[in-house]
Parts: sequence; C-alpha cells; structure tokens
Amino acid sequence: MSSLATRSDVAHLLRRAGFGAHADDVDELAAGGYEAAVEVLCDLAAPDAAADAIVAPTFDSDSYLDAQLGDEDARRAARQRARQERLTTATWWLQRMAVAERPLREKLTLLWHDHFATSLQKVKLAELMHLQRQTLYDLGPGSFVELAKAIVRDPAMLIWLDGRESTAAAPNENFAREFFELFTLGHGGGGHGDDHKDHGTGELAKEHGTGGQPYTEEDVAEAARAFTGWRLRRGRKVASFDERRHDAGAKSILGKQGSFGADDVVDLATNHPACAPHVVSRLWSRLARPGGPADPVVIELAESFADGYDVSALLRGIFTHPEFLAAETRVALVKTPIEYLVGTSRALRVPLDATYLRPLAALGQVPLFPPDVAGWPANEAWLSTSASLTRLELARKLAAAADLTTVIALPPSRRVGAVARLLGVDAWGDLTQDALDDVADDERLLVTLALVTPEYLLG
Amino acid sequence: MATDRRTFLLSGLAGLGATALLGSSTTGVAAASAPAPWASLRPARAPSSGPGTLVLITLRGGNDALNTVVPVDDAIYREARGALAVDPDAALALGDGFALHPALRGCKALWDDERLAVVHGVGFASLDRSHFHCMDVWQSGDENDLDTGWLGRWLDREGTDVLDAIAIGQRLPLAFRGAERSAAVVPVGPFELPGDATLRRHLTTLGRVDRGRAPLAAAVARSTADLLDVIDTVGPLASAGRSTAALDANNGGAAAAPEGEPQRGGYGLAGQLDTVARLINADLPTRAYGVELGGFDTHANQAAVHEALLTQLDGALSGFLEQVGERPVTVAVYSEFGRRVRANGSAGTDHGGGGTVLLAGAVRPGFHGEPPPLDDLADGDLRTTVDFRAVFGGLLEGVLDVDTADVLEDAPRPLSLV
Repeated sequence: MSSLATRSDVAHLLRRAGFGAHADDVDELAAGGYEAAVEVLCDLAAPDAAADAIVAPTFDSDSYLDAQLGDEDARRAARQRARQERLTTATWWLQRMAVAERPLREKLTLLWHDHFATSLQKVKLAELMHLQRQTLYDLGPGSFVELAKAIVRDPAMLIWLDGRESTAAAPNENFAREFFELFTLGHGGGGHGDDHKDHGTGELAKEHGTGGQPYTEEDVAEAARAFTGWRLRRGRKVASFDERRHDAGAKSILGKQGSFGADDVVDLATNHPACAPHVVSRLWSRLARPGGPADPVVIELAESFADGYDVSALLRGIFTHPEFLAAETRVALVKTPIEYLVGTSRALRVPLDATYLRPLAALGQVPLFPPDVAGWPANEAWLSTSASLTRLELARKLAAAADLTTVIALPPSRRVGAVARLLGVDAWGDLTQDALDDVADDERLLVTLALVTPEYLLG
Repeated sequence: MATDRRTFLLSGLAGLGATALLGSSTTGVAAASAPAPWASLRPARAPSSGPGTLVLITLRGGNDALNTVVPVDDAIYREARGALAVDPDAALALGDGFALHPALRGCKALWDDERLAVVHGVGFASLDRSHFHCMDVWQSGDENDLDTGWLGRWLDREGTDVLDAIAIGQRLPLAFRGAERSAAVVPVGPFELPGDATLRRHLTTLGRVDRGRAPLAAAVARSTADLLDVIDTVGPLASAGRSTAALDANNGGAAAAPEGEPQRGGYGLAGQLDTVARLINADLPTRAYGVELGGFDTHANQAAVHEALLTQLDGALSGFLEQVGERPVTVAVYSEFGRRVRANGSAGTDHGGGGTVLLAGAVRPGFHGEPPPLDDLADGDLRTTVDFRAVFGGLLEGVLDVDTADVLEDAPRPLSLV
C-alpha cells in the first residue's frame, strides 16, 4: 500500500505528465512508489494499444483540391467535406488523449503542438495537420534538433507561415521570425519572458534583466533567405526542395558565415545559448509552474538539455526535480480546457465524441486550432466569467454522463470524500467542503459542483 | 457589498437612467486641455460633455496601416507597394494627401459627418517586429513587462462594480486584467445560467474567496462570483439579439461556430459589437468594452484578405454607431504594429512600424499627430511620431475622466481626442 503522500505525489504526476487518471489507476501506479511511477510514465517507446484502437480519420484532400477548379456547387460540397474532416480529426485526437495508456506521449504531442502552433483555420486540409501531429508524436520524445528540422519542411507549417510562398527572389520573413522568437531562441529583449503576457503567465521573466534579444533583424532577414526553396506542390503531402527557388548565396546568421540552408539554421539556433532555456521554459511552464528562461530551475534543466537536446531525458529531469513536487507548484496551473475535458473524461469514464468540440470552442481551445503561432494562453486567461459559465455547462454534461456507481453505493456522508478521490483532489477547502456537503444526496449535482471548484480547476 | 449591489441590479434597470450613469447631460465641462499643435484645425462638432463609454477594437496580426489610411498619391508609397498599392481612383479621399481604403465606405461617411479621427504614426520606443512583444505593450499600456492591463489598472483604481468593464469573447484579454479587479467577459450569443436556484445557491458558496487560498484558487472563486454578479443583468440583454451569424454574414465576416469549429479571427466583429450596442443601450454602468478581430498578419496574398477584413471592420463599426445613436460612445481601433513599407515577394507585407489609430463616434474629428515621412524610414519602417500613451491618455481623460498618470507610467501629455 502506498502512503497518502505518495498517492498525492503520483496523482499530481499523472495530472501534469498526463491528463489525470481514474482513482484505481492512481492506486495501481502509486503502489510502486513515485520514482517507479515516473519511469512508467516516461517509457515513451512503448506502444499505446488503447489510443491506437481509436479509428484514424480518412481524408480525401485530392477531391477538395480538384473541386477548387469546379463550379460553385462543387466547391461548396468540398468545403463542407473539408470542414467535416477537420472536426473528425480534432475529435479523434481528443479520443486518443482520453483513452491513452501512455498519456505522457499524447500530452507531449499536445505541448509540441502548442509550441509549434499551427492552425487549421489557415491550413484548411485536415490531412496536413494530421501529418504534422504524427510528426510531433513520432519525433517528440527524441531530439529537439531533429524535431525542429522536420518542422522547417512540414507541409502544414509551410502553408501556415507562408514558407511555400518564400523564394530566393522574394523571401518573406514570417517563418524565420517565429522560428527564432517562438520555436528556438525567445524574444529576450525588453525584459520579456517566454510566456507572453497576453497569454497569461510569466512574471519571472523580469529577472531576465536586459540581456537583450538573442537575434537581430539581420538574422531574421538572412534566415528567411536560408529557408527559401521548400515548396508544397499541389496535392502533395510532402514538401519538396526546389534549388531554383533557394537562395544559395552567402549569409551571416547568429554570428556565423556560410551559404546556409534550412537545416543549418536549425543547427545554428540550437547551438545558441538562448535555445535550451527557451525550450525548457516552455515545457516547465506547462508541466510544472510558470517560469521564464532566467528561472533558476529552468537554467539548471537547460544545462543538461543543451547537451544533445534529448526530450525524454528532459521530461525525467522535470518530473524528478524537487521543485516539481513543491507545494506551490501543485496549485500553480489552471487546467486548460483540453486538460479539463480529457482529465474529467478519464476520471469519470465518460467517452468523448464530437459534441464536446462545441464547449471547447466556447472556452477557446480546440485541438488543431490554436489562436495564433504563439499557442494557447495559460492560467488567468482561462478564468473569465464567460469561461466560468461554459465550464459549468460542460461540468453538467460530463456529470450527467459519468459512471458514478462507486459514489452512489456510498452513504451521503462519505460521498464528498469519495468524489475527491475520484477526481484526484487531495482535500477540499473548508468553503468547498461546506458547499459539497450540502448536496451530497444528489450525486450528479455533487459532481457538477466538484468539477467547478478551485481545488479541481487547479493542478 | 456585493449582495446590496446585486439586489440593486435585480431591482431592474429602470432606475439606471442614462443621464445618471453615462453623464450624457449637456452641462458638462468641455475638455480642458488645448489641442495639440498639429491637431486638425477642423472644429469638433460639439464639445465633450463629461464621461462617456469607451469601446476598444483590437485588430490582431498587425494591420497594414499604410493601406488603411493611404498616402495615396505619394510616389514612394506607390513604388514600394507596387501591385499592392491602393488604387487612387477607388480610394476615398480625406484630404492632406490621405485617403481611406475603398472598403471603408462607412468610415468615409463618418469622416464626412465629423465622427471619425485618424491618429498618425502611433507607436513606442521598443516597437519591434514581434507580434507578441508589441501586443503586450499595447495591452499592458507599458513597455516594462507589466502583468496588468491599462484598463485593468483603471479598474483597480476606480472600479466599484464587476460591470465597470466588459470584454466580449471567451478569454480575458490582458488589457482588461487588473491586480485586484478584472473585466467581466461576456460571450457572443446566449449567456444564461443553467439549472435552478439550488445550483445558484451552491455556486454562491463556491464563489466566496477564502483568505487562505492560493492566488490562483482565489481567482477561480472570483470568476464564479463575478459570473453570478453579471449574468442576471447581462444575460437577458446578450441573449436577446438578432442572429449574430446573419449579422456577420452580411458583413462579410465569420459567424460564431455552431458545430465547434473556431473561425478565423474568432467570432465575427459585427456580432461582438451588436452585443456591446445592446448593453450600452440598456444603460449598464459599464464604461469600457473590448472586442477583437484577428487575421491581419498578411504576409501573403494580402489584397483580398485585407479588403475582406476592412469590409468587416467597416460594416461592423458603422452598424454599431448607428445602433448606439447619440450616446457619448468613443470607439478606438488599433493593432500591434503596421507593415513594412516595401511589399514582400509573396504579394504580402512583412511586419513593420506605422501604427494608425482610428477613433470614431464621440471624437475630435480629423487628423491628429504627424504623418511619418515616407522618405525617412527606420530600417524600412515608418517611424513613430506619437507615443501610444498619448492616445491612451487622451481616452482616459476624455472618455473615462481619469488622470493619465494614475494608470500609465511616463506618459507624455495626452492628445486631445474627444
């Protein structure tokens, strides 16, 4: 039997390294102790039979592209089909997250999607985002350098940041700028950290001082030249390199000179001292607590990460860091809408379907539709009156569909504690306890209210 | 106390007269500060009469200011923009060598009616080409990485009621986030509490803020309490409107997504502004509203995209001002930055300087600020001639009737805009 403290640690780990879990699964994992639980979760090479059993969507991108040449009726029908493919793909991913036996693999894929944020609003073809997600899934646990090299030639990214339009004769800077600012080095200058204010976190960034921006406007313009030449030919699912459109001339990027191409820019950026702290800051801020590139824990983790950019090793480093288990870390993150939905689905055994996309859209977080290239916001941004109402409606929907057999079997006096255990909450605060005690005889209302408590929404 | 206030609100809106809360009396004092030396000589239609209502429209992505208020006959502009240059015959002339983009017909009518102002060259010292840094600066009203917004600090200082400010949408924007108080966020479309009185009673308990709670836990509780405080007042008004889908379709914009697929730029601007108009017309005590339109990051194939966005902005803005009629409402439209003067090779424009703020409704009409010279660029960008804090200061003093220095650090003298 695991101690209460170990169970609490493992429940925290399962929330952050995954999406939360059913109480029985927490017990099972906690029985072996915390370190063993980290090893189980971080075993990212193991297959995930449950997630893979969700039937993958099928696509008919060719007929969508063909219809663009047809009449208005054909185009309308094609748009409708493309829209359906987008919704099906987003639902499919949610379902994978909800049933995954290897939740960290899905969580990591979602975090990389947030980091290399690309949206179907512009990409349109679900098949291309499905392929990008697969790239993030396949390469995500390995080397960040290899992942970044896949992203610079990713078809959806070439559409999203206009890389396919960028040629030697006329490079455009969209991808190059976000590659430095968001994907690798961070903005740096002006005391700004890596989690943008408008996205809700990041007071620690101030300590970064006036270190200055790690790259210059010249670097952006020169990198834009280096990234030219990647095309996405009509109907293709893989980018091709067109030498005639590539600028093979001499360039000066991040202090080095050469006739650099796309992969060279990835190497130059990942060899820059700002890269590891920036990337670690993104993951630490999403998995543990908000922390900019100058946060001492981030610096410490980045020192190891910079040597080889092994993402799996970084994840182990995060989950075994003493600060990961610190009391303030446990209440430092508001569940994002996807985490909230998927976590509740797992805890209450509620199967997910396409009807859950609507509340997610109302909350502002649908998979494959980040608001912009900086990804989703964090924390306070999710705590609006509008979001409170949508969450309440979502909580009612989930509570109505929940498997509450174990709660109903108990006398009302023991139900409030049982719901805490079910939802992975260590303890209710006094005010919450009072509110929940009052409704213990109505199990659906009890669970609805429990799902909108501060105790559940944090962590 | 919250309960007193709620009782007050539940007692109905009849008691909340427009004159009492919006100060629409004609006996107010005219704006005291002298017009800036470069302000238009065109006289204001009527002097400002005390506090009004501010509606902030954020254009996300970096609106091409140069193709919004266009130096239409300028040879440097025409050469640098090439095929993207606005057709001078189609542009809507304002005078002084400037014309509005042809899509802005409603704005031209406002200009002719002396209800539109243009502030040239708005920016700040640290304006770079980062969406995220620049948007943070605009929203926080500060270049030093504050995690409160400029209107949030106004709420912290002057706020008495959760309805003081309302942002339309889903998430709470930084501009409206204070350390202690934040704006209510109201969605487009239905806004009604599900369940019965029992649910409400228990939510009231959950919304109480326990001193011992961690700051984020307190924020969760506060969002529940705020919801209960606003929903009875705002809910019936927000739900009673016309179909926002139809509104936005008419304006060339995207409608709210019924089946769960988010739309480009979020919800349509016309639907958002329709909600704002209905709240204003119901005489809520709200003094500041926020709405957003995204999609302005036009690196490629800009002409059609930009025209569609400006059409949407123009239709939504005109319809909104018609709805609120003679009420003292000031609309301010801004974006995080402008675009590079020279077009790129993808029939688009890359990030650049050159912010233009549009003001509509109760404003001192005409041009404000100095147009940045096209023959003296900074690394290919238009220079900043007006510090954005002078614009925000003008809105704080002219619309919200508070001292700029209470909210903005190191602000230059406010422009006289209202």
